[in-house]
Amino acid sequence: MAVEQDLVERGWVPALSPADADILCVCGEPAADLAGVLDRIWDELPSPRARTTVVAAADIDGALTACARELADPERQASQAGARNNDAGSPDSGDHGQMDDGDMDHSQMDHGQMDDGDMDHGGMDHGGMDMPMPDGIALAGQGSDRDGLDLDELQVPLGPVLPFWPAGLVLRCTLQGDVVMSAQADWLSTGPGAEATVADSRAVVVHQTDLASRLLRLAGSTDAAGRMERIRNRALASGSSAASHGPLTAELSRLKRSFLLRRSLRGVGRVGTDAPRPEAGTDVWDRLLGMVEAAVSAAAGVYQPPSRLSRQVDAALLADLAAGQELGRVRLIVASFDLSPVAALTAAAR
Amino acid sequence: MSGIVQVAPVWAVAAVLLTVLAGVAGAVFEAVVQARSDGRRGGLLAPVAETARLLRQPQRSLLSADVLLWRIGTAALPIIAVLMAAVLPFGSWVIADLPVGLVWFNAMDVMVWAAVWLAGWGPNSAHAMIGGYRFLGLALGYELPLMFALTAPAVAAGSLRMADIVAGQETLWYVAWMPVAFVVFCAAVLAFSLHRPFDAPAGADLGGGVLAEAAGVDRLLLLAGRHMLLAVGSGFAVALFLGGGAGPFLPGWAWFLTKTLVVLGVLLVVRRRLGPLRPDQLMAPAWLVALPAVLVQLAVVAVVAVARG
Repeated sequence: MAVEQDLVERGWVPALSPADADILCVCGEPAADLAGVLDRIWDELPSPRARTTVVAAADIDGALTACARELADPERQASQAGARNNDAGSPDSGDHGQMDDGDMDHSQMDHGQMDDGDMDHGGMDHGGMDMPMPDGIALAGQGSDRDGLDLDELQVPLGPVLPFWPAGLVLRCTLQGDVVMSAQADWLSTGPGAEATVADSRAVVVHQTDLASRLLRLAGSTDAAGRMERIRNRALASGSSAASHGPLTAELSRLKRSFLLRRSLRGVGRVGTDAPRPEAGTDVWDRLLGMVEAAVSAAAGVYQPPSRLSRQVDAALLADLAAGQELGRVRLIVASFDLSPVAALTAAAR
Repeated sequence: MSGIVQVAPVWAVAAVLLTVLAGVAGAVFEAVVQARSDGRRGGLLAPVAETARLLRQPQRSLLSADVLLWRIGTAALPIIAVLMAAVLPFGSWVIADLPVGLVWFNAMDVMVWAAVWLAGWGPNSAHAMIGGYRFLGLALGYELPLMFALTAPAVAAGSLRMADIVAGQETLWYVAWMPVAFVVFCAAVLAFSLHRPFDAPAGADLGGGVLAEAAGVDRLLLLAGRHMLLAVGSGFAVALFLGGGAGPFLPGWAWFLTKTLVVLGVLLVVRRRLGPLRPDQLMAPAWLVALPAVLVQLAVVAVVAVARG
């Protein structure tokens, strides 16, 4: 989050995909699983490019400035590009088969610069087919769609790194066109994160506004998401949550009045009322308001320690809600849950 | 204002430049508004800096990408914008005074379907391809209302020639008695230039959709194409509904340019207030509301046209 704040101050923009990125900025030390994914993302960045890892918030400014200098240095870029041509026979070879992508989540890994890295690309990895495959990529399989028509099916993993996506979550989807026919959720270990301790009210404000801003970004409410991020950044910088109460209340009533947003989120991803979960009966719109309300009351000093059910329950619920939905709706559904490891709360406070 | 003349073909160079400049003007305006909303100043040079950044990057390709079709789709957007501009009367000048200018414009906007689809298909990436699918879904929604909205000025002017349509508005701008067609047309301009609320094909949830894999000059062409299409679309809104270059004191071209930039600015501001429409959300309003409304509009125009003889 501090990286995002630094980006805003520099007037840089987070990139939505590796192709659009100049800098890959990894926040925290990734675990082995994720490190491999990050290397693939790095391969996808077009030259000129720069990569950095930041662990402490104090290092961010220096690290990004170093990246900018590296980008502007023709000699280093030339030598890097040379090395790149030598070690790969064909551009981006190899991993399109599994590639996937790139970046960001706020709590641990994320991105850098004038756009930065992130996102994914759904590489298609149609596993396990034994026909001849062009360039090692399997052809699409076939299956019946909702209307019983025979359509191509693609196996596309979403995550573990995507913009506005919980770090480490992988949703293995079977896609027909833009409809997710079935999905299976898994987690990669994202790295050694601190185990949850008791979060303070500011951490709750930061966390909830962060979740809400991601959901708003996905829903396309760029301005509302930007305001939410500014509230989050101020809470992060100020060390106290009391000052964010006013802006949050204003934001909440503004959200409640936004007819178009409500119309597009109402009824999406509704959890069955009988589900044994705190979210039972809610849809994405309710959960968005819930995030902001939680932030408002935390800013007023009333907050509850995060009560989260196990990830297995999350995985089953996600798979269930995602099935049969259009991809954009699936993204909204995923973003509407608090799936970050509880450790994120302490990470946010760091 | 009658007497729109066809200029020598060499002026096409000026038309290309002007289309590019109008696209840049839109991009600069957007960047400035974005910077202000982020609480920063400036933004004026952001499109220039972005262009420089993209031109430094090598072209990018992916394994098994359909490079030929991808490049065709990418390059097509700005080319389509320029081809549209060819029949657009700029004040009292036009590059090609086709007797079927309006149909030409319509044909070009349908070419956008192919261009965006190819740009999505080419890179061999699921996200880009879904971006392409989404665009076709949206196109299915907006294209019919757009076609009927285009028909209204043509019926009123009794001609498909752009010059006649502009001349037909000497006494009264068409927007005054075809407000529905005007609004539908403006929405369709946002749609075929992939701008809000029709930008789901390039949505953040797809990591940029059709833009997801594009770097360097490919990305530049796609982004420039979007802005040029929006600018040219604004120009057509002026020629079809806002009297073209008609206006007091100033020469026709100045009025035309002013009106176009105003329409462009208004479209860019309006679109910021809207969220993106998923393709499944567009069909119902487009076919159940916009299409009947524009048909009623067309019927009214037809009756008036017949009554006037």
